[in-house]
Amino acid sequence: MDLLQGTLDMLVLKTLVMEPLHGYGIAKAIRNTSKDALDIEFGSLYPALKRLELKGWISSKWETSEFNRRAKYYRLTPAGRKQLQREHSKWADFVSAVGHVMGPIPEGGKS
Amino acid sequence: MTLWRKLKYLLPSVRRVEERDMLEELEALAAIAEIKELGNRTRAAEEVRSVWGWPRIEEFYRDAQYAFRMMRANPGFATTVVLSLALGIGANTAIFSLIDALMLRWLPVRNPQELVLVKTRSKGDVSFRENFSYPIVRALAEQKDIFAGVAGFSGTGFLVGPPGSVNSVNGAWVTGEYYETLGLNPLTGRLLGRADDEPGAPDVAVITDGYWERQFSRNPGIIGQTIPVNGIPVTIVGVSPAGFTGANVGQIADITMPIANITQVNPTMAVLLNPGNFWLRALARPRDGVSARLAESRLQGVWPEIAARLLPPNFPSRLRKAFLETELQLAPGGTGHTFLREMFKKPLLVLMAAVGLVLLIACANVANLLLARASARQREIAIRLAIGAGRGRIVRQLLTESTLLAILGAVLGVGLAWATTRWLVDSFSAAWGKVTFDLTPNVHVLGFTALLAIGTGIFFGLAPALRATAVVGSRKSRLSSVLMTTQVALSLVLLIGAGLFVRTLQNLRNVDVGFNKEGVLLVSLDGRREGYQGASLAAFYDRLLARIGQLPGVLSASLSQGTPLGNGTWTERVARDGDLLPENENAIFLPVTPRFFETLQTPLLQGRDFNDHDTGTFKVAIVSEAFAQRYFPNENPVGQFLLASVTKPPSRLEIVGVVRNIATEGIRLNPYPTVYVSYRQREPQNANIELRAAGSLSQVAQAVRTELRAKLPSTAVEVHGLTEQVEASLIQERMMAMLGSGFGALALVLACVGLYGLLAYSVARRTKEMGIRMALGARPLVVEAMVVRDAVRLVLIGIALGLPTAWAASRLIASMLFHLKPTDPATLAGAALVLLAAALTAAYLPARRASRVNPMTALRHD
Repeated sequence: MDLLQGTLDMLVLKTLVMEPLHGYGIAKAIRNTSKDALDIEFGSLYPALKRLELKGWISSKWETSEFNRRAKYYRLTPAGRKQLQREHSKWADFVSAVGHVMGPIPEGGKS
Repeated sequence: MTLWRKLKYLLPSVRRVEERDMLEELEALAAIAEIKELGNRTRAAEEVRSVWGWPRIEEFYRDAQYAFRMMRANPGFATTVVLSLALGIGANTAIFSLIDALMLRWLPVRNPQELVLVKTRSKGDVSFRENFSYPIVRALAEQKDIFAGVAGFSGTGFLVGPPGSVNSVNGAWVTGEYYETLGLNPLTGRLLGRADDEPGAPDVAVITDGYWERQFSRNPGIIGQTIPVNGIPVTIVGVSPAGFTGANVGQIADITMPIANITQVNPTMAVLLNPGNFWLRALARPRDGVSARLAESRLQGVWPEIAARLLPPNFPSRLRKAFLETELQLAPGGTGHTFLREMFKKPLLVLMAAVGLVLLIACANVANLLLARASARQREIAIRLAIGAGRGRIVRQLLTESTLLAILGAVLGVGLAWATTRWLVDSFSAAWGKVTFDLTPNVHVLGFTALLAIGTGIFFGLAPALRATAVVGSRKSRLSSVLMTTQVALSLVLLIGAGLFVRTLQNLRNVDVGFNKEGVLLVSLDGRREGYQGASLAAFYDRLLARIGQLPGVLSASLSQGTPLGNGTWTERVARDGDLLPENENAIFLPVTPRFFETLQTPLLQGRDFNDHDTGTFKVAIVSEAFAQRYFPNENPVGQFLLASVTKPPSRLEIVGVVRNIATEGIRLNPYPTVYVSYRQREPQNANIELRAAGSLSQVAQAVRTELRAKLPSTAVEVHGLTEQVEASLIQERMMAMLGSGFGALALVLACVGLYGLLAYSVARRTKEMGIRMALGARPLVVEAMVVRDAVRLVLIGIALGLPTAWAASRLIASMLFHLKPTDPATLAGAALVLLAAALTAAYLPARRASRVNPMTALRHD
């Protein structure tokens, strides 16, 4: 499934609400939560992380992982939390607006 | 802040740390994840780098680096382009900085945009008058519900220093509210105030920062000291802020004094305080909350009363009526006032258009060079396109190159412009001795040049860049021929313009001015400053004249009130004796001593010159041909009488002679009826000595100076030639002829360089063809003719386009020409011929090279 522009940032922020994760962990978490529907390429995710970090919405720190391996963990900053709220309500508005336009799925329209 | 964090990444050290950290992180993740999951790690890292970086700026930096390398590789090309642009941009900057200095620069005062210049216009008149009497300016200043302040001012000259070492210093007479209205604070001491401009107030002066520095080395102790001004001790009370040199743009006022002081400091001019003298400009600042428009409408309400109250009782009734019907206008005044603006506005706009054309030619030239080079670089560009560079990316890179070239040209151009304008203004000043402009490049000028550079860089670079990157291989291009003919056409327009101005100047110089300007020296003086008056002054002038006449080398000397094309003449109402004096028919009057006409070598056509018996009161007159024709057509005027308003009631003057017309007011004007009266038949005032010298003029001038300095200790004696005075009256025409031909020549050179380049390039490209033709037996002459024919075709098309353009454009300058139609056939043909000859010269070298092609080499040529 293709992602809408800017949606990736929102997904990353949302994923980090629960716990800090490393880069690969974030990709895995998004895949798992979306029941494999969203398979984010690491090549796109990683630059997005750096972009969010530059904006100050997430921060990173070297930590030791569950398998005793070192990795860089990303966590949400207070600014990032606020940004997530904004994105979330924008997203909700967008979904309901598109829902109004589209209405129920027409007969036989299921693909 | 995001920006701040991003800026950090510009630091190489930060960048290195982050880079290492990123690679380490990716390495660590690779260890955790299955290798496939992470995909192309190198690409991910590259994208992160662009997140951190400033891709646009870094790209620009790389492009600029590349561009510099390209320039170094082709120094000839780069030099040609940069020089072409430097000349084009420099010419534009030069003219624009003159326009800026003359018309656009705000006065360095508080909120200059609020200031308004008061003007009046009589019913039915087209132009406004900007002169007011001292009582009117004071009355305007009293309108406190309209104005926060009204400043009246007029430029003047002061003679400063003790007897024996007197210098002439430019200054101004101002009303008491002058500095307050402008909103200035003193650098030291105080500025003038209302109390200084009251009758009987002590004589005080404010000096400029520049004068303080030059004369007093910024000594603060000068405040409160007196300096002799016109022989009267005047107290310096303060220094005006740096940068402010008066409200008259172009004329520095180093010493500023209140008008009320005129009665003591310059008693002969005390009449200026009277209501009949309109000599002051008025700059006003509307009070807070009153817009210029509101001020204007309120002023209309009170103006009739002020005008009626403050006109002198003896004002002629016709003028009074006209004056009472004048309307007032408040024009924007923040740029100050200058008579130069009216005089040079049109010439400068014409020159601005001309330099615009020069720049277009330069751009076309450079575009053509770039086109030629783009085809030479086709391989390089093709490779870059093939390995995946976007077209936009390459266009951007080519535009960076052209803009850089333009910027280099602009930097050089600003230098050129600065030198040229300095030299230009200096040559004005040599003529007038008084014009000073601040020409240091300011924000306007530099902004203008920067815009010009970037604009031209894109303008001349875009077409070649698009052409170079066009995916479809272009067929034989017409673009370069189009550019070439455009250059030729524009050059022709400029050449024709230059020709018209040069011929105008020639025509003016060939006008019979009625005197021989060569070998005549003039000295302006005023014996009243030395303490002489009435009979003693007349005797003093006689002694001076006798002494000067005896100096070695002096052939003839005379004295007069005014000089041809100088000051000192005036008009009086005249009629034939027996007729009534008309209201508005007048003649120019000029008092002269015997030998005036001999000195100027103005032929006496009938009757006699004045002689030593023509003394006492107005009795005799010598009239000009124009006067004789107007008032005594088909009659001998000698022995007849004329009536003139020189006295009240009018005097009867016997006409004793008729002289050839002298251009007194301007060479362009038709000879105006002129009446010469005997200098010794009226109250002596200031005077001019004119003398004709043989041999070295400068030696005689030195002798005269030495002689007069001893006799006139309170005067700054200056001797100048009549030739200079005549040339000064032609300054505008000289400027147009000089700059016009300069720009015309520039256009011609640029067009020829362009033509040469184009032909040389096309010959190089057609080497093989030429070789084949020669191998098949074409003679060198035929090949030469082929190349020249190409050139001639381009030039002829250009001329065919340029002639109608010039024909249309020259109408705009018709009013600036003299005895010349804007479509003067000789000028048009001359310009076209010059262009054709220059083009043939430019075409000859490439043609010769083409004919020297060795067929064998050419055929092996790829």
